[in-house]
Amino acid sequence: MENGSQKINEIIEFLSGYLHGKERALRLALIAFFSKGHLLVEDLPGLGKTTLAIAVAKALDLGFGRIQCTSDLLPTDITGLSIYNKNTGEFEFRSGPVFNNIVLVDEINRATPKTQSAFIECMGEKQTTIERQTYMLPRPFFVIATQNPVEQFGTFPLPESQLDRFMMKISIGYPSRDAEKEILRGGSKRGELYTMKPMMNKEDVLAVSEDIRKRVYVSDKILDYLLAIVEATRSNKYLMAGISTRGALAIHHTARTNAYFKGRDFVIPEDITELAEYLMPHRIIFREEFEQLERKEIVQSLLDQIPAPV
Amino acid sequence: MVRNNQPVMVEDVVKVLSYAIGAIGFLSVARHVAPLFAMGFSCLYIIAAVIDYRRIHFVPRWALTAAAISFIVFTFKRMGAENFVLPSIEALSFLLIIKLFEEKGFRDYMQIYMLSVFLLAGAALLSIDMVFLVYLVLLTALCSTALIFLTYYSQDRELALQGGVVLGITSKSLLIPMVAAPMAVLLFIMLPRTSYPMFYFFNIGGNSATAGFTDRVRLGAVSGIQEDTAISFRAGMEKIDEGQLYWRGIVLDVFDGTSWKSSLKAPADFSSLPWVAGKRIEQTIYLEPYENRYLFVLDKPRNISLQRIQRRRDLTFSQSNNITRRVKYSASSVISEISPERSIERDLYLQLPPELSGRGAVKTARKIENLARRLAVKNDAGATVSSMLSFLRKGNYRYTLSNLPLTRHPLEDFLFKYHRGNCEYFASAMAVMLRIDGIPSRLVGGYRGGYYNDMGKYYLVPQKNAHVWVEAYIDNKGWLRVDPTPADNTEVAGKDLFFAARLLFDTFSYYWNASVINYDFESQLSLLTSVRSGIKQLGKPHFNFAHGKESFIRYLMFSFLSAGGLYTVCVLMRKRKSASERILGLFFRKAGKLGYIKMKSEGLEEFVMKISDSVLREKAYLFVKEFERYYFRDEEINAEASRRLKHLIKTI
Repeated sequence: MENGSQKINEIIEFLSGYLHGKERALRLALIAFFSKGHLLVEDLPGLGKTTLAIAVAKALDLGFGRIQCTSDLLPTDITGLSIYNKNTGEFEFRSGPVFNNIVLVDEINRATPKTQSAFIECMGEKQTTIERQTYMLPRPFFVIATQNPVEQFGTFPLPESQLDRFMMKISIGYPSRDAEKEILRGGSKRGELYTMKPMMNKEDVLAVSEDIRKRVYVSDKILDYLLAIVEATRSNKYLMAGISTRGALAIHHTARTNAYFKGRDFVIPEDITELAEYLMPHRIIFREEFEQLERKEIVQSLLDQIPAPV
Repeated sequence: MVRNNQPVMVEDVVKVLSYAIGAIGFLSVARHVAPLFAMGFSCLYIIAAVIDYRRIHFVPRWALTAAAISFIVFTFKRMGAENFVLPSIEALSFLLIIKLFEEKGFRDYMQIYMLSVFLLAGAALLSIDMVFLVYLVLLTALCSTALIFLTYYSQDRELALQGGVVLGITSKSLLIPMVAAPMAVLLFIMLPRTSYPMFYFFNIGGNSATAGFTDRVRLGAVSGIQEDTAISFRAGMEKIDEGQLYWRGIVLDVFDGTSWKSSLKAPADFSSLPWVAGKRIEQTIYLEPYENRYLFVLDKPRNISLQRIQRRRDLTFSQSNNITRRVKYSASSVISEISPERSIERDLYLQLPPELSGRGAVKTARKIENLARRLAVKNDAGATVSSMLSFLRKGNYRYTLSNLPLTRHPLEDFLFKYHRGNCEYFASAMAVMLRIDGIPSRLVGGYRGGYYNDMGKYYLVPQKNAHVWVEAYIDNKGWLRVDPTPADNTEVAGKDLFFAARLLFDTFSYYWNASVINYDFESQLSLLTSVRSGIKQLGKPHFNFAHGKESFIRYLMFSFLSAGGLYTVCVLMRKRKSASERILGLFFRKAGKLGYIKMKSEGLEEFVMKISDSVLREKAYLFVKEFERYYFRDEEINAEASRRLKHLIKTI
């Protein structure tokens, strides 16, 4: 337990050397990863989304696949397909990029709904079905999807149901001046990342996830607090739909992971509130007349009204 | 046994003692309750103990409260003349077990002790034998020890003591009952046996010149009589004509020239009393202890409900010894001036001292004789009586309590020289003159009048109302009551506010005596029944205090009961703070003093991070981290942790 969280913090610290100014994003990505969820990064191009994904994959010694979405991307392009082998006279399956532990799906909103829905099965069930054959995806399986918030032409915005499948929605944002200066001085370190020595292996990763699931204690007080938050979103006058049960589960999982990262084997309310802005805004649906309101602010004001367990 | 160097939680000590006390309380009544009930109690007792041991209070408080209330209501419905004590005991036992079930605080422990003592008291109602004494001693010892530990506990719930210290405290606290026990035993033996003030004998004797009842009428001995407002007795009865209020106590038949006394020669045969016409009055009399043995009854008494007393033919009743404790008795009387009697011992009632019987022939005595003869109407005893009566009452004789003739011949001096005196002079003069005229007569001592308390429906008769009157025997009729004393004009008391207040207080005193001191089970039961009927008639309340005893007491009881019930509910419903809440309270108070107040929605760490002073923040953070370890892990904060946390708060 102590070792696990220590190791993770070492990883974060180490990777920070490569990802200047992206410590927060890195931490959140790892939280999502260890909570067995998926991450949606909404950001402009060129801010280091790919680097983040590669860093995570390499540090944890995991397979990495990347999909660049376009409107003509077909489901088979991501899942893989069967190809006729003329030597054997049989179709043999060529796995696509989803058959990796960490899959970076770039600009997911550019893919057609058909392709997007192929992701849904991958993300939700951690399996994929091609030509009536179901293939299990490797474990752990972690999707980092990115979307561009500015370009709206020729995009297919992700439906709410699919957004809910992403455990967290974050944005990396521009690096600070100092961090950017550092980047400029040192140049891109993408190449170094590929040659980096992994800090954990797959077994360690699975063990840590197991640890989080089994050893972090969630008190009834915390569950009550969580449910109070969920209920508040459901009865809020600005909102049409509140947090789903899957959303509540996501909050629960991430809170545990957050606690674990901080070296605790129990959850405190701050574990929830800290992550709320990444977990909640993309899960709630506003009433039409309040669409223009800032989602994060609503969530914050909602949290401010709920008494903490202490 | 506790080892000497092992720390013991005070709470554990209190718990063990409390369970022992509860067990003794119930054991004292266990053999009286139904076996099934006893078994149920034992089972619940064990479960409660296990719950306490494991600290799992899974039964919600409201459920316990509801159970307690419903059981009490159920018990109240069950009560009746046949089963009164047992249901109460069962209810008490049930409350005890409920208390044991609860998560206990100081108050609950106290209630457990109280209930156990009540149970022991209940056991005493059912039977008192040697076992009772054993229980009493055990309970006293345990309670006094437990109370000492409880005070420790109330100061610091998490206090842990070394085993040796625990033993020390126990032995020292046992000293208290050991010292107190001999005194208690003394009181225990004496108190229930007497309602007479215990050390009052210091005051007896000395100045006897206060108005009051005596068995001897002495003339010319004192010059003044102080009015004594002390209560002689109270008589619960209906209000009757003031002129008929003669409370008969003693008959004095022997006169020696200066004083009257009772020869006690009247036959002790009380049967076959001739029938008397008149209104029958039932009275319940609460007689205060006094220095004589006569019992007072409204004139003319027919019956009295008291065992082992002497009933005489002259309609007087007496105990064999002085009345040293408050006596309650009921009597029935017929209001009549005449009590028929066919034959009497004439010589006894015609007795005169030698100087008046013609043999001694003193000069002054002659004057009385002459007066008597002058007032006599030949062969008509009735007319003689009336003429004497009008001579004394309408003549120039004055009633007084002061400046009484101090002389060797009081009667003569009263009649011919001073013309003033108290009832004793008037009555003596009349009786003597009647005897001189050959009409048998006697003095009757007792009380006249009284103050009627409308609220309590009883007569209050103070000592100063002591009175002496005359009975004259009219042939073929019987004894005729004659009161030669003129009405006392000075009697105006009873109308002022002070007296009204006194009467009111006396009402309470009366009820206290009637229902508590005299331990009248019947009346207690009727009180309870009236309360029950009052509760049943709750739909149509009618507050009428003029209605008297019943309604007054009913409403008083009802309001007490409902207040008690409400209080019980409040106490039971009250939420108790857990250890973590107390520690948090301490922390927030400390933070508040430093100017930091946590918002409701803030988490502890979030709150602490707001603290601008980094040193302060570090210290607060230390506490918060430690505290969260227990709080969010749902772990009980034990004594050790509590101390550490409190220490951390102190360092902030």
